[in-house]
Amino acid sequence: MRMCRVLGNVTASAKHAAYAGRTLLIVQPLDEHGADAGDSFIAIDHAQAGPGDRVLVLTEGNGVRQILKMGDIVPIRSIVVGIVDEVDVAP
Amino acid sequence: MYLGVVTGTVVAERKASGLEGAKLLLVQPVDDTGRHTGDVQVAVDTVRAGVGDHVYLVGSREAALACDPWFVPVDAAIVGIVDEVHAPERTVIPEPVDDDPTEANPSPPRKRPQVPARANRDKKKTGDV
Repeated sequence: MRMCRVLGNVTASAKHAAYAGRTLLIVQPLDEHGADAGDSFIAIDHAQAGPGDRVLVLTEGNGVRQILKMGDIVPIRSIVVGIVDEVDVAP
Repeated sequence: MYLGVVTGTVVAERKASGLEGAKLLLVQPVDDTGRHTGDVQVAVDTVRAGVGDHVYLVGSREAALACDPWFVPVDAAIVGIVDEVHAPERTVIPEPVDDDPTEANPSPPRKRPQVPARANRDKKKTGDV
């Protein structure tokens, strides 16, 4: 899983049926200190996250299928699975 | 999943079985600000996107799952056409413009007083000489 910050959301009218009714968030990967690390990407929301939240993002399709329980043919690869409260980095 | 911009189309006559009828598009991956985030790639279209469209894609194995039939040799698929990316913290606030558009083209009554001023200056010069 990646730790990310939610930048905002993405709206799309034409989309694959599996994405119907789902909130698409744009997330920025972070390092352990909270600094931006890498390029932003899109994840569907499964934790009621909003802009500015630090979240956990699962980026693996099997885990997504396990969470969504929509069957085996789900073209979704990244999903927000938690909101991070605190990170403690060992000195 | 990631954002991209459709930059062109690809036609391939000879393809692996499973790719027959697949619409192939050239896509430039971008981030939320529109910055290019990698090399141009070829993706299968599932949402009737066209050149210039802002889209989002899914990669790897899940790209094949976006296709019908789903057991196909595909590793990038366009699964949505983006209407808007709303990222408040990345929105660039335009700098305030100093020039008042009403002052950029002064009305004739304001311009006229300058003309006698220049005429006086010219008169002074001629007077000096």
